[in-house]
Amino acid sequence: MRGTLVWLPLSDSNSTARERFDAEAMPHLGDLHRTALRLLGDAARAEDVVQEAYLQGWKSFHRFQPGTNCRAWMFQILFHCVNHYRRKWFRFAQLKEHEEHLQENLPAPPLMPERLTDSDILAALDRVPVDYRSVVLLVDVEEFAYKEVAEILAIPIGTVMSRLSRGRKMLREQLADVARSYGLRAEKGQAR
Amino acid sequence: MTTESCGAILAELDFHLDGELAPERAAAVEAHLGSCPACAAEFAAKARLRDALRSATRAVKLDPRLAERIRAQSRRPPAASWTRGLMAIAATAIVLVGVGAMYRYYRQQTSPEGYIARWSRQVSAIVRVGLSDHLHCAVFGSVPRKPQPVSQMVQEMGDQYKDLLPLIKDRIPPAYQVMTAHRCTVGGRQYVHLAARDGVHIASLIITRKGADESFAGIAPVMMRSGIAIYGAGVDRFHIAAFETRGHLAYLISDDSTGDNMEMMAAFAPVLGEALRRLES
Repeated sequence: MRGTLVWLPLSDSNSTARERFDAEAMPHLGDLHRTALRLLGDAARAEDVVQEAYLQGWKSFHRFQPGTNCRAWMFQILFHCVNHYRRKWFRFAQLKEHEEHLQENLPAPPLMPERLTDSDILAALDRVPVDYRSVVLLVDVEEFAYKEVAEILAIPIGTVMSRLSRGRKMLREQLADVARSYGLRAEKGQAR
Repeated sequence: MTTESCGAILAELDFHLDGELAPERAAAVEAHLGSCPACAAEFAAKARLRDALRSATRAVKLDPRLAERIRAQSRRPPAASWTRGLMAIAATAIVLVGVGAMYRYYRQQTSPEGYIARWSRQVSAIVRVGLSDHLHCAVFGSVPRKPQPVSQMVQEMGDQYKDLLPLIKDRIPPAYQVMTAHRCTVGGRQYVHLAARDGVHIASLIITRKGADESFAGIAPVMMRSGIAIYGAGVDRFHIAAFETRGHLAYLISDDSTGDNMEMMAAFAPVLGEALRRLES
């Protein structure tokens, strides 16, 4: 990506490594790409970060242990790149570890409205704070197990669980707002 | 039939949905759902939301050309195994020692001009235009460690270019600070030069008027940002990102190898390009 014009080429004798990388890492490109897009919200930024993640993955592919989960490994690198990018560009505040406390005080979430378009759902998701959004995406969309998510994000599994519950609740609250703005009535009845 | 309280079950529904409960807890939750319509409705709502989110996220169209860009970039080989890794490290160390010795030798034996000429020969003429100002002014000249007063920067940029200063200051990554901004002349060519530091690296934004036939056209851009083609190059430890307008060439050159050089230029290019086009009209 960088310096491609006049860097003197190194020897190119690693075709087998490249074939392995192509076979193991490239199939996950779409998954990484859509995750990055939902985390960064901008197509150009997402592409740059995914490209950087693949560059990092390629550079450290010798450290990848064959037979282990390449998809989780690539997601780990992606989140590293996303965090680096966000730190550098947004001075964003890292989430403080007081989630358990927050969770105690949450009211029961509204039930999910019936009629919502894909873009309503994505708009609501984009409004969920990024640390919660990350966990929701990894579990709900990318279908990782909690243990894998804990490793990808380098957080304890208990934190994965609390961020997941809270993130899903926030998503529903956002969707209820969307529904209200359309004049729809959120479904009645509270589950208790 | 009495089962556990709804509150206890509701707290576990998310984890049951994901199949993450231990078998005995999963069985207890299932038993409760079978006898409690309210909790069953809540569970169904959770599943519906999960499915809707999954399909909405997956339905987004992605640019398929990204795969080609990534394949192109991975032509630079990694260490294929730990033995090759070690060999590569050893080889790199030998090369570095050698390069270090040569570098010291050249620094002793030659003037900055000699060093600049040596590296400049390795890049194309269009890249050399920007690189030579960076080498002269930021590497062999000196970039102050404390920022110049803004009034001084404004004065040294001159009326024509002073408006670029706030554009850059607003978009430079927080880690960097603009230390100096001025006009300078290298090899008879005039430049507008802003230099920034992040504590470790120096980054130069260099702008100059195009000479006859000077253009990046014909080189493949590394990325597009807001319709502006951004070109990339690298030599020695310097990373170079560049773009052009009808009348100007703009370069961002730094020794920041974390890969943010290109990104920084991508952030500058839309506003900087617009400001330069205004000067040209």
